[in-house]
Amino acid sequence: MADHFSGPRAIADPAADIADLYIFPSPERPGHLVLVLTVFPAAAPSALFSDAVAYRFRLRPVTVTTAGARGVFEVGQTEYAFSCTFAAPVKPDGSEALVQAGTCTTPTGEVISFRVNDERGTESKGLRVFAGLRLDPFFIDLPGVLATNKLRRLAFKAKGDNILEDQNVLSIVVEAEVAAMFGAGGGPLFAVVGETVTTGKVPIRLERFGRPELKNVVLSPKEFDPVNRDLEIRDLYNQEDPFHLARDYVGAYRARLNANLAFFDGLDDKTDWPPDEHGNHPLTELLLADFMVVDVSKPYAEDSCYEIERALLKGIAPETCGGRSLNDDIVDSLYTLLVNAGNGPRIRDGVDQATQPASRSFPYLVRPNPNPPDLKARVAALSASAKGVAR
Amino acid sequence: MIGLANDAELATTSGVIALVNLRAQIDGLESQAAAGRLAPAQRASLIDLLILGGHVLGRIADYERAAALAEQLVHDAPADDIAFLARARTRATFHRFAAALADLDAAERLGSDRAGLDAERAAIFQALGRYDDALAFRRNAAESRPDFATLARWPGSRRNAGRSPRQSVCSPRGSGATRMSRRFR
Repeated sequence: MADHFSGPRAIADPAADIADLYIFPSPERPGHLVLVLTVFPAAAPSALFSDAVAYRFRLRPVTVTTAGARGVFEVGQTEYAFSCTFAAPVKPDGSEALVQAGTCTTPTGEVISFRVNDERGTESKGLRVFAGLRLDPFFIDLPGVLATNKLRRLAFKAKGDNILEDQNVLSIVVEAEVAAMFGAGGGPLFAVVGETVTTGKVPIRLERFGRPELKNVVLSPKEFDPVNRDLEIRDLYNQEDPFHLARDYVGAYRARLNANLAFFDGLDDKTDWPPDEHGNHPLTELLLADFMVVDVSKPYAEDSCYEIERALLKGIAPETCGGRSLNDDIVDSLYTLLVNAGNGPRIRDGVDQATQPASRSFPYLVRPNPNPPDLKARVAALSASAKGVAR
Repeated sequence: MIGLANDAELATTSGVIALVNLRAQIDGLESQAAAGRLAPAQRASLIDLLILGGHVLGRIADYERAAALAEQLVHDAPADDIAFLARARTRATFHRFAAALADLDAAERLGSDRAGLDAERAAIFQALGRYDDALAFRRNAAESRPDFATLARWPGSRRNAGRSPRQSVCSPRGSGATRMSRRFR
């Protein structure tokens, strides 16, 4: 799952557990950028945001430069952050239902107030904000992923099982006008990350999200790692500043990435990503710079995730906005990139859309399921099925 | 280590939110359980959540509901260690310690993870004031599964047993844990 349950600490506090991050030019209002953060995987209908957590989007301008044989992203120092916080819920006079209020602080310091689960969202000075329960837009054939890891060969079926079918998440949607937000502050390429950070005097980063499935699919398997075969690395990884990795553990991340990326490359029994003379996988440094890249000058595209990275690796100009739309089939895109580098057919996990595709109207995410199934039961059933496949 | 002047500098989630989210989890599982859609592991999760709700709110009805679900779970899945582990927790909640230890032994015979069982046994002996026995189980749990939960309980258990809480888990595995549990019965 994209970032759902990405480590013991995330699992311990669902309200701070980032499920996904989406960045895309508004399909409804040209010249606007949409930022979506989903948290609280498998949220029940009455789920609430934490009042002890700031839910943040951080954006920095990036440029493409050439280091050695390959292009790399160079991240600028200017930062634009949207920070959403929530209050403890209250019962308005005469009502039994709890109501939660929130605020969104923009890069220019304006504070927009809103109410959770207000279908219309809030609009103020060109900014639109929505926060509330929605149908989870992510989709993945988890049994196929598990069977692939176990069998050490691609094990996706023509028709996969979307583990997140009918599940809900809490979502934050911010739509901002590009010109007003960035001014003359660089671009058109921006690096974007999502974070959950404790409020209060001691800010502690609980989760960070750059690229989908980097933690759960790419970093999580331990068995190939020649250095830390028993280390649950995701909690360490989550606490890092995505724009400033601390030196302490970067060697551990690099070793894990080199080992696991080589595993994925070998799933089709051929090598599309030969390592360099030091054993480093060609994608390792690119993925260590863990942020999503979006071109705010290009129009909305439906399946553009990793397109800017692929163009960078090939040394050609990207064609799309990159980023990631709500309907983007990133599992197919990721496996195709890792396994055959785009040199072979597109690898499919057999799941091509969410329970219901996202709309092209604000707030873009679909209304929640009032009676969602229990995710753990579904995971258990599908895992048992995957074990049967893997035998 | 983070230096804090006092706990107020750490932000924590409002109790109202925590309880609403806990209740939402319970209600979601209850509706699935009523429809017969839950596997034993999810039924055990529901039992644990009800016990947690009971601890937080002091509501006996939650404990009683958990106990009833655990009895039914053992009846429905007598070969599943998770069922006995869940029932052990409900029995310990009602201070039926001998019955709880018997369930833990049953769970062990059915293949339950030893470290988890030793942590449960330690909690029971701690509740009985038998701190040396609890310490032996804590040591077993911490040595065989040295994670945050098992290690965090180690200093407190040492302090209760009148030992220095600072000593790390480094001595050889205790050998009398299971024997102590049988002696108690």
